[in-house]
Amino acid sequence: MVIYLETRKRGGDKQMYMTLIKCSFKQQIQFKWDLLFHIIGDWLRIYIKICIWNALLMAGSGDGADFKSLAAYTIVASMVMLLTKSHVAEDLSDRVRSGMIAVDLIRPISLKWYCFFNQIGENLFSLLFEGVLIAVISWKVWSLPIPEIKIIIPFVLCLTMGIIIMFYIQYIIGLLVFWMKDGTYTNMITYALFVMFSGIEIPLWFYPDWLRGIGQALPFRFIVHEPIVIWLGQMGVREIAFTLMMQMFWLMTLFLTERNLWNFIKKNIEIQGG
Amino acid sequence: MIGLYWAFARISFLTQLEYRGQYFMRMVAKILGWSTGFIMLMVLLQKFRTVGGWSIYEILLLYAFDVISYSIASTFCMGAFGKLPRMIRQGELDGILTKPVNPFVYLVSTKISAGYTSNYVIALGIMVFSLKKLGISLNGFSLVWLILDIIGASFIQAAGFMVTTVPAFWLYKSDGLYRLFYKNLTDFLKYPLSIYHRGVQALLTFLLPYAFINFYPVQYFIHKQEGMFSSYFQYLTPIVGIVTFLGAYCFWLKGLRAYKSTGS
Repeated sequence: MVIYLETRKRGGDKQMYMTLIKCSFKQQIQFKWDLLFHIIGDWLRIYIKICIWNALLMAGSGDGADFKSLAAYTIVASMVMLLTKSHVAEDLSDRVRSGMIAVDLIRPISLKWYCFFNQIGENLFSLLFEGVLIAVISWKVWSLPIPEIKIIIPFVLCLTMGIIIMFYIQYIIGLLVFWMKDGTYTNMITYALFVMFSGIEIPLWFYPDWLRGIGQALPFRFIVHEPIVIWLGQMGVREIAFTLMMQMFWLMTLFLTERNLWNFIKKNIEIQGG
Repeated sequence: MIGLYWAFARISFLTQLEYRGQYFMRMVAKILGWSTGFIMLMVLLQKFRTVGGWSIYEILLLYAFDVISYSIASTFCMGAFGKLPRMIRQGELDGILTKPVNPFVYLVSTKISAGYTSNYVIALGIMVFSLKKLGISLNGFSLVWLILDIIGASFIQAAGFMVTTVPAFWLYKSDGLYRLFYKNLTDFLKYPLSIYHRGVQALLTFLLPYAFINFYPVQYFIHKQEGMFSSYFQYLTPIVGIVTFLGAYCFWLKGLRAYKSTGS
């Protein structure tokens, strides 16, 4: 409004357009700054981790883990982090609150897959613009080894399944919004469990037995820890096969849970507004 | 006048208690959120016993200083400054500026948060526990000094919130700044600063004095002298706190003067 009035005073439509262009340009710059800050932030997180690993290894017991595998672990974990970001819960709660969900229910395309591909698109974008740069530079700086092709194939497979598992968890938690009317805190709880049991912060092999025991019973470690262990070449063929089977099992479980929940919601739903 | 501010603060506290279910969920989420950070720290500490020459309980003391000062600062400033960019964008700030009270005090007292109670309890528990384990008993003077340190540290945290969100007056958005210059940089505080590069230590001492939140003041209590700078730094937290907070306040005034309403 202010801009509009100012340009009117000076007269001339040209100036108005110039102002508009300037505004949108400013927005673009803002976006680039945001991306830059994100990249620096990711770097700082990796740097802190690397310093900690160094300090710990210097003090002695690394438990057989050497610096290179810890560095590689940290970097691959931050790539997985970029790939599993999600705002599904917020999206769903917005849709429920605004009544948009009514439209989603009668659409031919499933809400779930719409959310999934939307999210995957965003995450691939941030992997491409943030992640690849980070990975390439850190691989050069610490001269980390690149695994062979026969390891990369099961890694990609395992990682993809992990990403779908994570999405299903987030989606199911998002669906709980029908009872909560607000997704923020359920989301926080899921995230806390993810951080604790996926190995995103600390490799699970450093965990005390009791905590690892709880983690064994949860799906989170198949999202981060298991794919990275494959990447590091620390898993034999049979273990890899077992891991993939376990991932299939979790996917089936989550799939059935989601179906049941969805059917229940469809039957019992009350839609606000519209 | 003070009675008025108190009334604002009390009402905003009570509104949050109104939705008990939501308040409860929030408590659980917050407790879990904090304890995750804590458990991750413990996992590393139980495995390695020491990080950069600091023992488990010394690092827990660092952690407690960080969490307590963060929680105090958040109780007062998180609501106000976390929402500042949106308030500027949507012109909500206009409403506050028309009120015949100091906008800073109004903003802080109406947006005071009731959500950090669990943090206080956990962090105080950790602090008492680790002080006990380290065999440090607080006499009159050191107790007063501890409180002064915590107040100073909270001021630094609050200044951190303010300095990273006030640029929204010019940019209309500042979450990137906040994330990088506050969130990511305070991540360094979990471990003793001496494990990082000298450049990082200098940055966190002089440019963004987050190191005074826990790294320097804690050394007074555990009789350590670390860091690449003067050993007097361990006494400076209260002063640094007040100076940075005043600086941040001036910055806020400057932002307020530059404020052009977005209308709507």
